[in-house]
Amino acid sequence: MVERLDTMYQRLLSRKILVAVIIVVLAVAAPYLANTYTISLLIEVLIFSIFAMSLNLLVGYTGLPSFGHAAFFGLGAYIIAYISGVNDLTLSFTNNILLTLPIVIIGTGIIALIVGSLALRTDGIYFLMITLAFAQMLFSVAMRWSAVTGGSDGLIGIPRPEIDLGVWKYSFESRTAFYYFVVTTFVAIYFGLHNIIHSPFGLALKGIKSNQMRMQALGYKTLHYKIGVFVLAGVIAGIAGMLLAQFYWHASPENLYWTMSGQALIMVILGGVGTLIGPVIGATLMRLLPNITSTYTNNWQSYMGIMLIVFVLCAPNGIMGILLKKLKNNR
Amino acid sequence: MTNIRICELSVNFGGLAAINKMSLEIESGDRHAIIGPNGAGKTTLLKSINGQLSDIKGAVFLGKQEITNLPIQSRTKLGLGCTFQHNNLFSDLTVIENIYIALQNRLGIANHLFPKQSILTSMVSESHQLLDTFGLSMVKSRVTDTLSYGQQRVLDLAIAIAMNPKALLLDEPTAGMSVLETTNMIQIIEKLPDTVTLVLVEHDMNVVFEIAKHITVLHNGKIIGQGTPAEIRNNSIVREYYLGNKK
Repeated sequence: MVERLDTMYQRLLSRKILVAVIIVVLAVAAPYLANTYTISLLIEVLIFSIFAMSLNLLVGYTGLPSFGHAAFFGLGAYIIAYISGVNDLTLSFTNNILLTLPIVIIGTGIIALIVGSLALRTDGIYFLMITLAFAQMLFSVAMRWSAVTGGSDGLIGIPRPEIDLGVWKYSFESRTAFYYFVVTTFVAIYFGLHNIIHSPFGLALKGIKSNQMRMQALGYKTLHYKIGVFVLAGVIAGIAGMLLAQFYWHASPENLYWTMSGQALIMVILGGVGTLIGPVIGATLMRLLPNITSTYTNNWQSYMGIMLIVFVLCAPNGIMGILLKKLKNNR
Repeated sequence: MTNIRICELSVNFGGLAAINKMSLEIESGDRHAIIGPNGAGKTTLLKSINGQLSDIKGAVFLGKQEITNLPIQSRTKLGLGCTFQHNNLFSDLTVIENIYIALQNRLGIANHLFPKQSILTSMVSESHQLLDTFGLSMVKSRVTDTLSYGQQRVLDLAIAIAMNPKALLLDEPTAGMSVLETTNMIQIIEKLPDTVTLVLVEHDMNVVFEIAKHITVLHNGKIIGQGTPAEIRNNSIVREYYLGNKK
């Protein structure tokens, strides 16, 4: 019996390794196999996956229904635009990722700390409204304060990043190079999140989602944990926003708009709340579907809406929920 | 040594005095039962001690420390634990995760992203010990929701004990349990370490007389009798108000 379980486990493990190897090979080989359009799409999918995974930290793992996560996505885009963009409004300070990445992290982190410290004193629908209000406030600042933000045009001329060690320099200017840069960032964040979710801190977040009152009775200062995860999610969303701005050479107020927060929420719900890979699946679908369906119809958003309703009603745990259930039944 | 001391405690709900200038001392390591008819103020008393009620007059001490106005978290840090009348667990997490949540906070690694392996190892082995003691080893990987009611109440107690409390407040630990589950619960409570002060609110007199070393009887927010189980059995006032006057 034990032996059989052992071989079963090993087979499962080897299957996992096999899948991982295939994914890595495909990811590395993609620029040689696919055309530029597909690579662009892949870059977009990966960036939005990072964004959705960061929101899932709040919604899926801690039970915090943020409806203003685009605030940090947009902030990341505007911060990188401001420090590295080449145009009349920006500083054009550097696009060395060793400097710009820490600035984006610290910038979005500080704002997330301030917003989180205020918003997290409320719960449920009030939290949702405050996060939405904050994001919309940033959006209107971006639209109105054109002297700094470029108004509805946003900020253009954002270069792709480079690594500059003084003696050695490498630019991710080309699409292929930037693709590898995004893949690397995605993998680092994915495994970073994997570790966080399985750490004591991650378990504490799940505890807060499950029963906040008991957490307090057990001596947890839950507010601190919630602020911590809010900052973390804000920073990761900021990195995603930075990548998108670098990819399009453009930071747009659209990145801050509530529909962007809504899209991220749909990605999380569609893919599967509270699973690591769920938001990645959701983001992939959300970016691919319009591209596929728009060849046949102009109303892809209505189809998307119908699909979302079906999912919320029939599969509240998203695609991952269905897959996990299947997997369980097959054992 | 006194572990829990209550001085002139008053709690009002609107115009109603749920507890009226009550003073009570509970010794370290005592098994102290609070009994009385419905509305006597038993649960109110427990909630005043564990911090669930904030609008109270008088003073509550844990050891030498006054805790009257401390938030629940600080009371827990000082060594006050409690279980709840209604199940209050992490119902969508597994049994062992419920235990981990308590242990990791006590061990000071709850906010760690990269905890030390040695601490993790000791946490895992301690959690297995706890599950063994409480008879939950068989169900450790089950989602808490799927446990029987009795098992859930045992888990509730296990979580409280995982915090290593100096004093533990038990709010009707056997309420709603079958006879078998009640017997099991009594055995588990009797096996709890002597160093832990137990304060127990309970309706079931069999449970009370089985566990308690001292009993305090409440009526209308006041103490009407105190003593050992034998003394309480023979106390005429208590008999009149609560236990019934029949021989």
